[in-house]
Amino acid sequence: MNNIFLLNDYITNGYRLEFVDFIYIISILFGIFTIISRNPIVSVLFLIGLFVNIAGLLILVGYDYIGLSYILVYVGAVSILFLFILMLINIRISELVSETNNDIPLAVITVLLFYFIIGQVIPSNLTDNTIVTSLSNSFSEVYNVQLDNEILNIIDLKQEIAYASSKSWDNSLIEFTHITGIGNIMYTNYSLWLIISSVILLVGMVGAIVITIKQK
Amino acid sequence: MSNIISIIQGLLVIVPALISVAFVTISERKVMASMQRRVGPNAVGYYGLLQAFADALKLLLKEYVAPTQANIILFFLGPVITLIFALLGYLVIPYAPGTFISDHRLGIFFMLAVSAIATYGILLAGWSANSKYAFLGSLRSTAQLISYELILSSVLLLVILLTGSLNVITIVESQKAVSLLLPLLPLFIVFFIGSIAETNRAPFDLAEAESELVSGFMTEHSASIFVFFFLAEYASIILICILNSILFFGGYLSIIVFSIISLLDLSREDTLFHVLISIISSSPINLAVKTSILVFVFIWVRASFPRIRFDQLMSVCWLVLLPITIAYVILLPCVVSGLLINPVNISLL
Amino acid sequence: MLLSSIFCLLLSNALSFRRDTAILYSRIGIIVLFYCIYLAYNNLFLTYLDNGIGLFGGLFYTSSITQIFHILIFLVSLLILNMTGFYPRKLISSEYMSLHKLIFTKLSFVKNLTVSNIILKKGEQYTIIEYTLMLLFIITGSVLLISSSDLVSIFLSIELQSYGLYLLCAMYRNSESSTSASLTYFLLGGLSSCFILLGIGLIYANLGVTYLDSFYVINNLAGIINNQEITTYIPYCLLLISVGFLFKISAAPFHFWSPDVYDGIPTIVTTFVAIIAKISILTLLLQLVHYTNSIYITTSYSWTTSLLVSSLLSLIIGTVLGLTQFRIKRLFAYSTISHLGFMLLALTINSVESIQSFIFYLIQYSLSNLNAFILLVAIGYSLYAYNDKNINHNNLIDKNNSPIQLISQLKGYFHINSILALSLSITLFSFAGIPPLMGFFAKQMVFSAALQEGFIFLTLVGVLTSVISAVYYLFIVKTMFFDGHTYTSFNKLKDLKIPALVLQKDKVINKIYFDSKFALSSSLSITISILTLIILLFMFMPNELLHISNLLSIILFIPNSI
Repeated sequence: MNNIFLLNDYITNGYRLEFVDFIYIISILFGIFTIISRNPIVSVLFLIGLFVNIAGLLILVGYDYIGLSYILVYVGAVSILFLFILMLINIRISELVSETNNDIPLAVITVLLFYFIIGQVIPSNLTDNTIVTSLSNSFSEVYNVQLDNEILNIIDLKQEIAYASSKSWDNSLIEFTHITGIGNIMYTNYSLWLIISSVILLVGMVGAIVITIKQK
Repeated sequence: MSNIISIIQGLLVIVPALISVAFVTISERKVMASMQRRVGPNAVGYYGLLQAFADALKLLLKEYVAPTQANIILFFLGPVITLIFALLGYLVIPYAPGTFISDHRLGIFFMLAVSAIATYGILLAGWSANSKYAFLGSLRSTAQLISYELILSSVLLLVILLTGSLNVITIVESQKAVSLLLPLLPLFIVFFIGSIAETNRAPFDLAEAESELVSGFMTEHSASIFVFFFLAEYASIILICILNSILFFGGYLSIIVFSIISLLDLSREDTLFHVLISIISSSPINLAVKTSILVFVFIWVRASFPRIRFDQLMSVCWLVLLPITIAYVILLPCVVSGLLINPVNISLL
Repeated sequence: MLLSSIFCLLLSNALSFRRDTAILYSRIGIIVLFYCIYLAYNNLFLTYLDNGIGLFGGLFYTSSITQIFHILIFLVSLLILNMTGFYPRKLISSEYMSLHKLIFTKLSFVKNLTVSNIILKKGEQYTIIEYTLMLLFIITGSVLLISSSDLVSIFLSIELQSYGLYLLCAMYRNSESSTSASLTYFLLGGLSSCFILLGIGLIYANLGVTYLDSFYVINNLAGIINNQEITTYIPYCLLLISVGFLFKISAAPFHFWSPDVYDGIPTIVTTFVAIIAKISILTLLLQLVHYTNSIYITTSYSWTTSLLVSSLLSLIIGTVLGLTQFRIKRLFAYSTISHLGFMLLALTINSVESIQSFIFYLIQYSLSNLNAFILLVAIGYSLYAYNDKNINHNNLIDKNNSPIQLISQLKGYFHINSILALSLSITLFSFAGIPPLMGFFAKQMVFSAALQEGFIFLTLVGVLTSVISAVYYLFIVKTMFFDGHTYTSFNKLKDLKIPALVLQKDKVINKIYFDSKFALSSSLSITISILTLIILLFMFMPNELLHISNLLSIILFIPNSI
């Protein structure tokens, strides 16, 4: 199942899996830089880079709509306001320099513990994509052997399918976009969630007004 | 092989876009000059046609100067981001039937996302220059862009609602019968005002108000990186004019020619005249003409109106334009569902 | 059904915004809540309610347990709204106390600043008209949370509830402490929401379900099959979710925010924040624990053991740290933590008797906690006429919103208002678990349930900690009864005569003067007296509450036993 999933990805979108790994590495780096940077604005910039990266990942995997709306909402609206406010506040960088080296062992232990738990829980078809397994695969080429064993002549087939489907006729004939899918689900089965989330937004709006309105 | 082809495709779009930027600057100077009873540039080339290229050459040959306390990486990254994302918008524009780089099914959405990122270029450039003028200019510009983007996207929402698609080509093709200008005339006006503000043009060019802020967010940028800003600004003007004509005037379709067809009842398909008509009815020339007219209006507006204050700018956005747009966002679906009209392309989704 | 009524009134509430009529909104809120109680009570008599009915395509469900707790939430918040719905003090004139005169004569005060000061017309809680609105939002969230049967609806409703709570804390925005407390609450609450979301996401990624029903089925099947993969990751996912929940109810390893927050925000808000969130989340945990508890089926790690750990830690931390507190709301926060330990213990054992004790404990604890906080507020009001000679007490931060902050402020309070002091001491005794009061029975039920299932160590810890915690409860009682107080009444107020006109058919027939005797308004005093009497006299008529909890726990176990 897992292999078919990957193969499907590989063929339909025409992107190589290595790109996904590349994006993973970059987003992890950006995440680390977000925490490390002393200057809050630079840190927010790394955060924005992370968002863009993740949006790119989503688009690569095939979630066009969600990826683009990720850019639109997080990058275009949320973090630009964030950046804006940070720039206006004018924090002095020298005030922010504090000795945090003592906390590093604690942080490492916490992260290890967390990943010890999470690592057992993460579903297997996601972990196979990670860079570690990919690296190990590239060294030993177990991956291809596996593919060969499971489906006969997979490489020929792969080429053939890739060639045939690169024009993606199927896609243009039966195109069921994410918007229609999401819309169909949201307004029928899960309409109540939509209502509740709108109530949450209403609370947020009322709250923001209450907190900031000028009282006479 | 396919990579080379796609690179050529990209160049085919980007190079004309950049050249047209040059001519837009010329036309701006000429038009403004004649509106103000001046001659305008007339030395370089015929009627000063090559003035822009001379300017660009001059800027490129200059030495660039960066402030010592500036954040150098961001200082250079800002203009680059601005230019790249201004040009990325051209990806999804259909110039004629079948003439486009990408027929993305979420084309309009893509343009919105790209223009959302383009805001960062200005913000970063202004902040990294470590100068008060640049910083204030970038803050102003960003606030303005964010606010007016809201208006643009809500108008887009209505266009999408009527055409039933996020695909740019579908939006164009669904205006074969009647251009969206007729049902959405007030929204077109709002959209046009919004697009003037979105491109930081006069009378909304508070971000680079010379009398207050020297040159706004690009005060410290000089030489070749200034060219980037310059190109990005005019590229985005042309892009947003193209977008206007696509959304409201039917893009590459010529409404007049279509009405001639329907009037003359040219059902026979063998005549040369008919072939000619069908070529004219949907040719890139239509798009070019419409866009040029809109660009001319941009320049006209710049020559006619004085600059407004920043608080006026913001209050016009939030207190005048946005309520109108939101009222339309509520009204139009009510009308559509009240008259039992189905959006045209709902099946094409 | 029940929700729609809330929504309608909510929106009508939101529309008209006039500053001075906030008190009326509170009263509207009270009416709304009465109506909701009526609806929830009515729904109790549906025939098929026992097994639970799924609503809205299974996104929510309702059963008798959820209905009972809905009623509890409505009741508690009704009493809390009572505090802002009426002015806290009133004037007394013995001349006009008879019923006839009360009805047929009309008083009109000569416009006077002192009157409005005395009955506290200008108090800040009456100028925030969105208070009721926010309260109703929170109640909606917690009601939805109790009856949600889908992971996503759990998340949505918990967010609705907690956003309301953050905003409620920040609402008294003139006070710095309340704003900072709200920020703390918001940041940590956001963190805990992240944990809940991560757990939900992992469950969905692993199992592909968000419906709790199908999740329970998979979980139980997994317990039987003992497939290594499934049995390891379900508990971990649930552990992550429960970490988030424990954060929100401030159980022990995740309790750091609660004393600060409780102390920072105004007492009226503290009452709400301390009680409502706990009722709803604990009820939800009851479901989760009950249906996913595989402690008897498999010998491997079960997530409920971590709940036991949390219960142990809460018991110890709540009592030991409570000993050193001198600010009364922090002390209440720690006592809440230790009580949470008892509740989590009863919850985790998950037998018929322990669930019964859990339900009973939750009900009694929220009532008596409510009583304690209302008493604090009332004491604050009643001290208006007195001047505090202790200088330390005069420059407390945020004195307008929460007048009583230190335990030493209660010194000798018995000599000022003996009835209130008595009520507070009764409530505190009930917290401590002194025999004839309600708290004792609850603790006793928890212990007997725990002993029955063999949790001897935890029971011992529970007994010990409740003894230790009695120390600080008794310390408050001691300061109230045996220390001399430092209060003197204002001279100005003593001689004050407040003129008022007695009108009959719009004619002035008499002019009277109120002297400065004023008392707590009847709404406060009635609430306090009822709650205190419930706590005190519970032993004479224990049937109702015990039967409710007994029936509910039996209902919960019936589908399993048949």
